[in-house]
Amino acid sequence: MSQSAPSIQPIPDLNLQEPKYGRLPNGIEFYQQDSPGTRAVRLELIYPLGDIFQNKKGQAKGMFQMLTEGSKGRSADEIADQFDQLGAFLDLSTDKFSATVGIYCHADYFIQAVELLLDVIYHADFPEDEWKKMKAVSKSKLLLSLEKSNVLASRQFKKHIVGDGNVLGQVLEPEDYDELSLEDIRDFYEAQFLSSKPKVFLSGQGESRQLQEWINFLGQVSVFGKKEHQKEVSPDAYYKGRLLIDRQEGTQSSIVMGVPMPGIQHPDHHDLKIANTLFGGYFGSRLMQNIREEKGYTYGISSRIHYLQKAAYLGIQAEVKREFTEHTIKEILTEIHRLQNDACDQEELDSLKSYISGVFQSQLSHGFALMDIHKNRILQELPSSYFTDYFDALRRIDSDRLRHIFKEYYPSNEEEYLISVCGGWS
Amino acid sequence: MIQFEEKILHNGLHVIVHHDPNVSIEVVNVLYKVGSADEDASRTGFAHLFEHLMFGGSENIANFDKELQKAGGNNNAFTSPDITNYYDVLPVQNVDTALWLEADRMRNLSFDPQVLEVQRKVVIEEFKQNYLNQPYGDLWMKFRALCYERHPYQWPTIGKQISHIEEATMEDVKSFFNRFYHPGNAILVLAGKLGVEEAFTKAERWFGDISARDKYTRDLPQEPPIGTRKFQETSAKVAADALYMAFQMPGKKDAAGYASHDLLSDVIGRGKSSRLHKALVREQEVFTQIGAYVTGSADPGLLVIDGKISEGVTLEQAEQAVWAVLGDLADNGLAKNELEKTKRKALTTQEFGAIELLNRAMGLAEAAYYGDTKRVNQESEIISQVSELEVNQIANYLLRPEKAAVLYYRREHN
Repeated sequence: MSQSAPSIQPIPDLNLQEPKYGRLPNGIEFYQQDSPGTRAVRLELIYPLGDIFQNKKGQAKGMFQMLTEGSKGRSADEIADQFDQLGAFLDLSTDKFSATVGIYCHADYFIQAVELLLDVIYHADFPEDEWKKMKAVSKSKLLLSLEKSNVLASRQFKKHIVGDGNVLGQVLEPEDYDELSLEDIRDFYEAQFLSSKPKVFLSGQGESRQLQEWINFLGQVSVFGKKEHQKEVSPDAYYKGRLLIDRQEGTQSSIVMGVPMPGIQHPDHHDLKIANTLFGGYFGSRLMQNIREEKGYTYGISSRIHYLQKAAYLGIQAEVKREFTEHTIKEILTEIHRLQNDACDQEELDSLKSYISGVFQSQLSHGFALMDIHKNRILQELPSSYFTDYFDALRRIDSDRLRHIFKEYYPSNEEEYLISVCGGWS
Repeated sequence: MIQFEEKILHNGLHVIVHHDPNVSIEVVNVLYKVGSADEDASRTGFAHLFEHLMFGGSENIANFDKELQKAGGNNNAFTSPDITNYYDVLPVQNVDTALWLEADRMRNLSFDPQVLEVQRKVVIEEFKQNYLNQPYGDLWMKFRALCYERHPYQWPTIGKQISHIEEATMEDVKSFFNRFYHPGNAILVLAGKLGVEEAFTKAERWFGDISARDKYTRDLPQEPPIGTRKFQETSAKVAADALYMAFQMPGKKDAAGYASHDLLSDVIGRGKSSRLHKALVREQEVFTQIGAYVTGSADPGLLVIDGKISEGVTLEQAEQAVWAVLGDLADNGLAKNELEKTKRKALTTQEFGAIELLNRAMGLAEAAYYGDTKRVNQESEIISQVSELEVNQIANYLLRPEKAAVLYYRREHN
C-alpha cells in the first residue's frame, strides 16, 4: 500500500537564544552558553591576533603552537602529561585575523585544567630544541599536504584573489620555516601576545554552583593583557585569468574559480548569501544538480563566499574528471547565465527557503553550536540583529531580486574570473 | 544517560525512540544491516553504490532530496564494512515527511536505469578523488588485503577496483535490495522533540504495513589470528616514507574486549603524551607524526599504528624503533597512572560525543546492531572497569612481531 505525501508545515521562527554576556571584574568580555544534559565544558580565549599582525610568515601560528611546548618549571612532556591526567584536550589555532586557545574537558576538572592552561601559556619559555622539532614536524606536514591537488589549486587561488603579495593571500611555503627563528617567536609573544586582551567564551554545563565558581575564577585572572589589537587590511586588485598547475598523473582536475564579492557588512550581504546557496551551497543547488546529478562529472561541487574583514570573495570548487575540466567551467558559467535571465520557479524558491531555515535549526541542537554562531558574529563585529535580519531577507527574497543579485555580482563571462586548476584543461 | 524505549514491529522493524525536550528538531536514522563485508568478492563496492541509488527515486517519490528539502530537512548516509546508515534531520513539525520518504524507499525503489548510469559515474569520481588522486590514497586497499586473507573486510567499502562498479547491472541492484532492504534487516531511531508514544505511533503508521521478507543471517568466513608476521611493500610519489602496522583485536560485539584494546591503542599512540609520540617524535625524531587507533568493526578488527618517517631514517630503522617501544610496554607493562589518564581522556571524548543529537541517534542504532541497545549507556562504565592487569596481559600477548601485519609505503623519488 502506498501512502500519500504528508502536508508540509511552516517552520516556526527560531527563538534564537543569546549567550549571557558580561564584563568580568578584570575587564574581560565574557560570553557564556549553557548546554543542558552534558558535563562537557569548552573554554575559548580568542585573541584578535592573527597573521595580519606578524612581521614574518608563520610567526603567529608558530607562536601559538609553541605556547604549550615548555614553560617555567614544566617541560613539554610534563605539560602534555598533565593535561592528559585531567582528560583535557587543547586547541591552539590561528587564522588571518585571530587566534584561539581552547580547552575541552569534563566539568569536574574544569578549574584545574584552566589553571594549568593559564600558568603554562603565560609562562611559556620556548625551549630551543622543542622549537626545532616543531619546525621540522610542521614543515613535513606542509610538504605532505602539498601533494594534494585540491590543496595546490586552492593555495594558488587564495594568493591571486586578493592580489599576489597581499598579506590576506599569504600561504606558508616549506622554506618559510627555515627563515623563522625562535627570536621571531619570542618577539611575537612579548610584543603582541602578552599585551593582548582576549574575549572569553564558555560553553557547556556545570551545576549552577560550579558555574558561579568558574565565573568568579575567570574574573580574577590577572595575567590577561589590556590591549585590544585592531588592524584593517584590504585586498588588492585580483588576477583575472587562468592559472594552471600542470599535473600529468591522476585522472582528475581540481578547479577553484571566483571573483571578489561585497563584504559581510554590505546591505546586499544576506540576499547574496541566499543566492549563493541556490547556486552552489547545498545538495539541491544548481551546480550539484547539473554537474553531479545530471552529468556525473564529479563527486561534489560547491560555491562559497569567504569573508575577509570588510572584503569577501566567491570560491567555486570541484574535483572533476580531467577531460571535463573545460566543460565544467563552461557549465558553471551557463548556470550563472540562467540564474541571471530565467526566473527561478516558485517550487524551487520555496524549497530553498525551507531548507535554509530547517538546516539552521538543525545545526543548533545544543549550546556549543549556538555559541559557535554567536561567537563568529561577535568576532566579525556584526549586530545582534544579524540572524533576524537574515531571516527577514529570506522571507522577502523573490525571483526578481535573485536575478538582480546574480546580474550584479556573478559575472557570466569567463574573462572576469580567476580560474585556478591543478591537473589539466583536458 | 541517553533515555530510550524500543519496540519490534510485527514486520520485524526494530524501532528505538529517544526524547530530548531541549531541541526543536527530530532525527530519523535508519540503519540497514548490510555493508561491504556482505558483498560478493567479484562485485565489491556494491553496498556503497547502492547507498547512492537509495536517493534516486522510490516507488512513489521521484526525488528524495527535493521532498526532504521542502520540509526543511537535510540528510546524508554512509556505508561501512558492516552497515549502511541513512539519516534525516528536520524541524519536528515535518517529521512525517522524513518517515514517509524512508518508508517509501524501504518498500520499493523505482530502479531507474538513468539513475544507475549517473551514480555509477559519480561513484567512480569518488573512487578517484578519495583513493587514487590522494597521497597514500590506495593504502587501505593494499593494507586491508594484507591484514585479511579470508574475511571480506579485505576490501574497502568503495570496492576493490573500478571495474566492479562499472560492471554492476540493474539485476544486481534489484537482488541486493530484495535481500538486504526490508524491515527485519533495519533499525529505525527517532530522536528529538517527539514524545515517546507519538513517535511509536508514527513509526507504526508509516512502516507498519511494509511486508516482511526472508531474514538475512550473516555468516562470513572468519579471519584466523595472525601467527607469523605478514609483510608487504608498496611505493608511490608521496612526500615521505610511511609505516603501517596492524594487530588483530576483538570486534565491537565483544564490548569489554574492544574497550581494553581501544585503551591500549590510546596508551600506545593517542596524543602527545602517548608512548610512540613521546619516544619517536619528540625524543628520537624518527617519525614526524605517529599514532595508533582501532578500526571498530563488528567482527575482529585491527589495532593500527600509522606513522610518517623523518627524512634520513629508513623504514627498517623506523620499524625497529616502534618495536622497541612496543616491546617495553609488552615486557614491563603500564606505568603508574598511565591507564588512569588514558581512561579520563576516553571519558571526555565520550562526553563530547554525546552532545550532538545525531550522534546519540547513531549511537543507539549501533548499540542495537551489536545486539543490546542498553550498551549505549554502558560504554563509560565498561571503560572504567578495564583493569591494568588486563591491559598488561593484552600488551604482553599481542604486541609481538609474529602477531603483526606490516606495510612499508615507500616514497618514489622523481
